[in-house]
Amino acid sequence: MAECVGEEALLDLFGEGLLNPRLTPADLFTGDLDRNARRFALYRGNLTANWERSLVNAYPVLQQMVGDEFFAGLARDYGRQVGSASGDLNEFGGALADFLTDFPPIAPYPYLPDLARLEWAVHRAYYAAEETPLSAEDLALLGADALEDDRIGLRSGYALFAAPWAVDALWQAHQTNPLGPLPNEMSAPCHVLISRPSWRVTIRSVLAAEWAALASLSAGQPLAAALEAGFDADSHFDPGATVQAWLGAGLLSHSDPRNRS
Amino acid sequence: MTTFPSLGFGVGLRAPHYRDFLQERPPVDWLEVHSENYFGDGGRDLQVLERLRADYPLSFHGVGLGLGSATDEFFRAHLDRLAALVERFAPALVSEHLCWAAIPGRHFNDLLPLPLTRAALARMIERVDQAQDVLRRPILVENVSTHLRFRADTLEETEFLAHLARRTGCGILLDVNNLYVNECNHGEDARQAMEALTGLVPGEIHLAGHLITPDSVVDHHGDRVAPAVWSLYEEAVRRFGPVSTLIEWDTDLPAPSVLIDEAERARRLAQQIGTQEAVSHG
Repeated sequence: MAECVGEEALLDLFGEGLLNPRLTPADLFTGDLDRNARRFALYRGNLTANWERSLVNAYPVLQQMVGDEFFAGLARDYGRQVGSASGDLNEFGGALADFLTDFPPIAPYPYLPDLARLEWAVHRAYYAAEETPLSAEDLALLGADALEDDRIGLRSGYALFAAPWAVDALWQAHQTNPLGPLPNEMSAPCHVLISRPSWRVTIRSVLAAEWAALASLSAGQPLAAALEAGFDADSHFDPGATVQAWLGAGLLSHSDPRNRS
Repeated sequence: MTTFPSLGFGVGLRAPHYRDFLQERPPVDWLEVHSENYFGDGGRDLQVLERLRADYPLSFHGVGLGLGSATDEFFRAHLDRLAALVERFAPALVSEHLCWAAIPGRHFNDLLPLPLTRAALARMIERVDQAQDVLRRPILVENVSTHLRFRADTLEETEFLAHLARRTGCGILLDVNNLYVNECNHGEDARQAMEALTGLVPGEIHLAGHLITPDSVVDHHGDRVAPAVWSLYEEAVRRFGPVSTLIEWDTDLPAPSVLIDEAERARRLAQQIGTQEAVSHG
């Protein structure tokens, strides 16, 4: 068979065999067929081990929630069905939350897709570009124009995340060993800000008014409109104190909005 | 023949060792990293590398470009990301593997064995030319360990590499452990494999540990360099002279001191051979 197969087809047959054990192309290689099949399985093993290692890296909390064995099976199913579309394994797993939504074995735990979504957002923040935070002095230098300056926005590495489940508390509980307190009730919506001030990623809950303001800001609105959105959400919202807190936490930046990820 | 800087004796830098390197700057001549671990826009890995670059020459060793893949699907995008990284850090060396990695729609993120044929060589030449154009520098291409050889093969691996180097001006990254693993797995003579490189000098040598399993010898990078591989390294140094040498370790990573100890062993061995040669030629 090998003699009449083109070189490109050899790679396709190899690839199909990696994804489907029943298609092991043992006869493409020199040597004993049974031995070739066992050796080919080593490549298949590498592939699943890479999938699993990459997903564990991006979804450590999910892995702890479902256990090693279940997670390994999930990684294999996801890898075979969705696969990798990049030579950079840090990009592998971006569609896991959607995959889990249609994954019957986790149906009793409907909050797991949102936990995965949160973990992926944290993973993205970890690799986000470096950006200098906007300081109080920078803001003062911009003067009155600052309020209408649409280059002021959420700094790279900072992002909002919302879900109908208390996945923030679940995530938080898994940041310590032993585990912190787990949420009593999962069916409570969460609104959080993901932050990466230096290199560690943290999350914190955000109340409705600040959420409205940050959402407006991250949608590209200038500071004036964002603060107004906060005030609209809650008349007790204090724009001055909020901006001071944002500057102190380094969550704003001043850059071309087109460069913002 | 393209020449590459002689860096001495280095080790692979992996994330669990970041803290040790930042705090102590262990005494090794240079560091090699996997390029793809620095493909992020920012974050910890790049921050660490920025700090270490002042103290160590760097080598970027790619594991995801898939120079030999038949599909073009992932190649250019990956190459462009590598080019941005190379531009930013201006490393001493940039290397990749003699392997393939993807089919249409799928990346396998592995160093898969290439059919060693004229058709594969033609494609590798084209890809290495393209990579060197985009990166604006010669790259090194490494021989890989494999569990299988295609019946369609018409070339030996190092013979393939020698053609590739002569046609593209790329350098050769000679992994001595891989030669040994392939000797065990396919009955190929590792010394003869080096013979096929006559007239060329590798720009870099890799040393690593392997794992013997019932079905195959696995190049797992999880142990000290085996005696048989040290003996092949000795042969390589006699044949090619002093070449930038790297200790690779990826599985069950020990303390950095173990890697440095291995690098020092390579240094002593190379120095001994250098002295002997000087005496015999003197």
